[in-house]
Amino acid sequence: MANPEILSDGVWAALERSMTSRTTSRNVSRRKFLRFCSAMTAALALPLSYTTQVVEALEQTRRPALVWLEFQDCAGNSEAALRASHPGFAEIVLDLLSWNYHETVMAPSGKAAEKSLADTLKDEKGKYIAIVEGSIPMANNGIYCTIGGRTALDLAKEVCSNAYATIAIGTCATFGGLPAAEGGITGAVGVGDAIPGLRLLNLSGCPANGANLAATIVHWLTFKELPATDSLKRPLFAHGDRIHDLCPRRPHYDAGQFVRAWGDEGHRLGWCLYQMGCKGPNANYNCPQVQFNDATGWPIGVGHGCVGCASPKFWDTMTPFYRALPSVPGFGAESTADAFGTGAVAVVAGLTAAHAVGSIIRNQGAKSNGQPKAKKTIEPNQTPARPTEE
Amino acid sequence: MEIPNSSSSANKANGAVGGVVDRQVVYVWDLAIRLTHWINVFAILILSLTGYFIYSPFMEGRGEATNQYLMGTIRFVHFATAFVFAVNVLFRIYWSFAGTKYARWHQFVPTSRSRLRGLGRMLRYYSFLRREPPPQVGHNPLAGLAYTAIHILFVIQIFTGFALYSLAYRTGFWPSTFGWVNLLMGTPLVRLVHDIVMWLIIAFTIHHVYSGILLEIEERSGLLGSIVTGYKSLTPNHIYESDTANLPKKKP
Amino acid sequence: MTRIAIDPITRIEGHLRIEVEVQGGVVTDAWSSGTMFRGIELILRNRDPRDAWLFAQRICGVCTTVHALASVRAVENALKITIPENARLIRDLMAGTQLVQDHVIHFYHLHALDWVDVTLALKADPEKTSTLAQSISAWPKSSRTYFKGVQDKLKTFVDSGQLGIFANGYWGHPAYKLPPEANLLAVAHYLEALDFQREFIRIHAVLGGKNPHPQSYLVGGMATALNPNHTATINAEKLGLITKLLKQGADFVSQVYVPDVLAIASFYKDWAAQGTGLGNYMAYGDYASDNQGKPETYFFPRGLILGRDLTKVQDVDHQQIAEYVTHSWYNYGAGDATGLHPWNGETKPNYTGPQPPFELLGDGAKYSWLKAPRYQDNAVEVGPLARVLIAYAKDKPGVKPVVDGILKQLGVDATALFSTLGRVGARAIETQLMINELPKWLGQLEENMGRGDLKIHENSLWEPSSWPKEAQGWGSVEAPRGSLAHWVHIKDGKIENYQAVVPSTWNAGPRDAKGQRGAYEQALIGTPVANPEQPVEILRTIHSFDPCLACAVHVVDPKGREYANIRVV
Repeated sequence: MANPEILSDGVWAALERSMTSRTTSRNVSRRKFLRFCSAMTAALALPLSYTTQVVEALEQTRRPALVWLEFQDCAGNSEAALRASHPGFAEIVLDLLSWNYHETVMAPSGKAAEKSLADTLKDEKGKYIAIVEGSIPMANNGIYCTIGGRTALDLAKEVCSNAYATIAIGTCATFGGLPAAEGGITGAVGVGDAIPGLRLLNLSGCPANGANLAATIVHWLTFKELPATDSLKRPLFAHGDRIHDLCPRRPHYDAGQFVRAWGDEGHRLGWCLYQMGCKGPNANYNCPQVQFNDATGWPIGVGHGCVGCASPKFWDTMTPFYRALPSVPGFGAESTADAFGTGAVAVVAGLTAAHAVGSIIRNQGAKSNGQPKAKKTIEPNQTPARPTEE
Repeated sequence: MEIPNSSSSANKANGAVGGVVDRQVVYVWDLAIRLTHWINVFAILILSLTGYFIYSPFMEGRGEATNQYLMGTIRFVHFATAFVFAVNVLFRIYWSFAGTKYARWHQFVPTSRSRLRGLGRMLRYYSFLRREPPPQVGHNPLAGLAYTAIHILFVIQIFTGFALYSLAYRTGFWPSTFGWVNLLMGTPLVRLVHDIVMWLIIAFTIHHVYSGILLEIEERSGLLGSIVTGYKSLTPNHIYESDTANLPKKKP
Repeated sequence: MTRIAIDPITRIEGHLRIEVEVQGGVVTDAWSSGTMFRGIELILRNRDPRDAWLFAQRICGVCTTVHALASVRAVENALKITIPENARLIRDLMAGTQLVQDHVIHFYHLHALDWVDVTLALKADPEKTSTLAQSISAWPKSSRTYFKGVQDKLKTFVDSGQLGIFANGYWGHPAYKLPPEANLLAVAHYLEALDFQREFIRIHAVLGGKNPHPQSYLVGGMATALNPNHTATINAEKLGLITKLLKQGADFVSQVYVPDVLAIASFYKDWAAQGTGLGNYMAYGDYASDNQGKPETYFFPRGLILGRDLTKVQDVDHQQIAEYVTHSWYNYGAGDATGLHPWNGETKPNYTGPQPPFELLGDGAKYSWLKAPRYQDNAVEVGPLARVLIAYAKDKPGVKPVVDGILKQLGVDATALFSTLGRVGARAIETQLMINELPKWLGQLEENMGRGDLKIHENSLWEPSSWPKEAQGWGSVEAPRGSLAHWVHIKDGKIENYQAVVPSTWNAGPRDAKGQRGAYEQALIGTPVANPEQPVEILRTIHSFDPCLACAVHVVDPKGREYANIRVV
């Protein structure tokens, strides 16, 4: 194998020509990089002539492509992406990735926009990232959301199945979210349920924190893989820990210091919001650490409870939002667990008391049992003798 | 199982009727039964009180948070007691297969015809359609069934409780064993079930104590004391008529 | 005759499909239809009314916050709750901040590319751009070096061959009239505005915990804890941050946004005669200086102008509003020709459109998921233009001089306001008015806190047990895109019925029972279309309304005429 140090000038020149301007703009020493590539070629036991291919493979000549689809959404996740700060949206869209389709921000409309999507599907097949915002309506042949006359499912199937990976962003796209809440009629589901078997990352939240989207992209670019996930396919860096366990108000919880009414003394002293219905104990999200809008604040920090917005079905399981526990199913919106429990106990106690009265009446003047008299002992595993006839 | 002459009309007049009858002292509740019972009593008492406090803290920690650990302490007591309770319930379930005659599963799940018949008799007794409670040495079939139900509640309580306990862990035994409960129901519902089952257990306790007193008055068998001593004092007829009296011995 | 369908319309909230009839290079008819339905009003039924604002806020993530505000106001109106002054001030600060930020985003990121040819910026002389910038504004980022840097960055981007969101734009279209220097200026400010919107909206994170979808509203007030002497609450540090951000916002609006609008408008004066539309304008009004929300104290006045008659501004009574579903995919129990007030509103979906995939929605009488709201059976336009016109016609102090000054600067008369360009201008005008007002509200909040008034919530009617058995209410907001209102019917502590009529329902809604067009449909009539493949002119007028649909709008022909040429672009 050739020693890279003794390459002829002509080979160097050829290698340098094969480099793109992009490397230059990134201020990476070209010579250093080429030496690395040569060494790499040698290490792989390839002929020296393969060095160019190694350079090409290692050098990312094109920015990775990304398309962003919107279905039953409110564009809240698109807006949240605009709030990302490190890297910011402009850097992500213009410098890091090739942001090829995103209805909320892209220049072309109509067929011209569809061309942007079609081009990506054709040119970047298997290499691009698909982001999906909003749930996918499955009921009624998908007529509850159509784009360009095609259903959300139809579009998502084509775009996601040809992607390197799919990122479902926001709780609608991850778990169905608001359109899937009780009372909804559109048969809305998340991407994972609509199209099983995708390489999928669920970036949950309502909306998903822009900082987490930025982090996911950086993670992918830096480590060349999607981040590790929990059982709901949410990245561990964002959903690995419980809000309650990271909450700056946790000391007040442990101390038994609770806000009892909005604006009361405890509220003005930053006490625990659990009694006001905070769902922090039920929710895994990194809000306490990264906070929102460039780490400026987060709901619990301001004084309002968490609503568990990154959890599946949170519109149904976490409501009512202002009670520690949900209503007892079938007993109306006002039914607290307390009322139900004490009611059940009262009913049993009442019935028992009534039965006691009945028993007393029944036993009035009844039998006159003498005091029991012990005579012999029978062990538990002994079969008793048949009593003798008297 | 064989219950000779259990419906014999000759035995209609049971030992309780007419004058002094010799009673036999029967060792019914073995030590394990009694111990698990009393551990349950204290555990449920502690768990209910601390649990209710965790749901709705009725006292306030005063002063600076740094000097306070009211909720923390109460949660510790709750968790520690929960472990005792869980082990206790587990052991009791094991004992229902390995224990002495009156500890075993036949007492709880009525499968035999006579146990099923006893169920109806006991129901008739409770609804004032029958004068006397059907004689039993161990649990009557209805009570046995109630204890099955209460153990199902115990198991629900253990699973929901440990599911909530697992929330504080990222990975490992707790989430992998109990995390599915949270995913299945959504955590707030797990809390709700955990709370409601507590109330159901309290309601059961009221009836449990009452029925103990009632049957003690009816039978004068030392029923109330038996859960301390293990012994009941029963008439021969009572023992003979009991459908569990002639259960086969436990195989060694 | 050519029928053009544009789908999806981009740079809006949601997906939009427009079909128009073009004859002789001019739009002769148009139909507007939403094709996405989520059923939030159905989902809200039987829920705790105190939770409703969190659901309702998710109607839209772009005009986030305003639906939360409309929702808590509707419930408070039903339960007769008067909120504390601090809560009113915090709410107004958040809504006003939202308005400013949203208008800036709309102009630069959603609308500018209809007027600005990004590729032409490469041909600009940075020196001339610098001269242009310094001639219209004192904004410090205006050196030749700065614009050269932006141009170089743009060049690298274009040379990469991966144009991303700018790929397949209508670049080179003859409707683009800006000189290269103005294009470069606009591109530079497009990028600066991305930073601005992110920074400025941090005010929401301070007062509401996050944006989008702030989370500090409460029925009866706010959850934003005030305490100058605690770390976890709104204290002087937080107030200082808001003050700084408001100052930055004021600088950006008065030195970048407003001058840019005027500069660009001066090249597009012909658009002061396009997109004239209905000529009926309505605003509920908002930003009361009184805790009861009395309309006479509104900063944005309430009113109704019919037939462009600025001499007569009528009052608005929400009871006069009715929604029609004659051309919408819903059924009413009493027949589809009837109009229902939102309190009695029904949401019974009944899709009669074609089964996807489809090229055209077809010729059904129903063609939209949007209902058609009408005021006394008048189709009206809502939004910044309506608000500015009403304030102008009512001679609200401080408004008339600003508007007249701008008209004079552009050399056009007041009729120019009734147009596509008028909408763009009105948006800039009210942004300037709002950014001037916001520090005053912050000052009042600071003053209250200084006096020890830390009250943020009215507790007395928090528990449902304190509520009447049945109650109805409505809550209105002047959202960035126009007049928004929610109507709620509460029964036994639960939501019996909930209806929202959002600005884009007024503007983007379909025809009503009488066949009157909605605001988009009417405004498109007469729009020139130079190249049906690149309908940038249609986008200009549609975008001038700042569509926010959370749905698609689709324009179809209900009469089933044959077209010589159907194009889907």
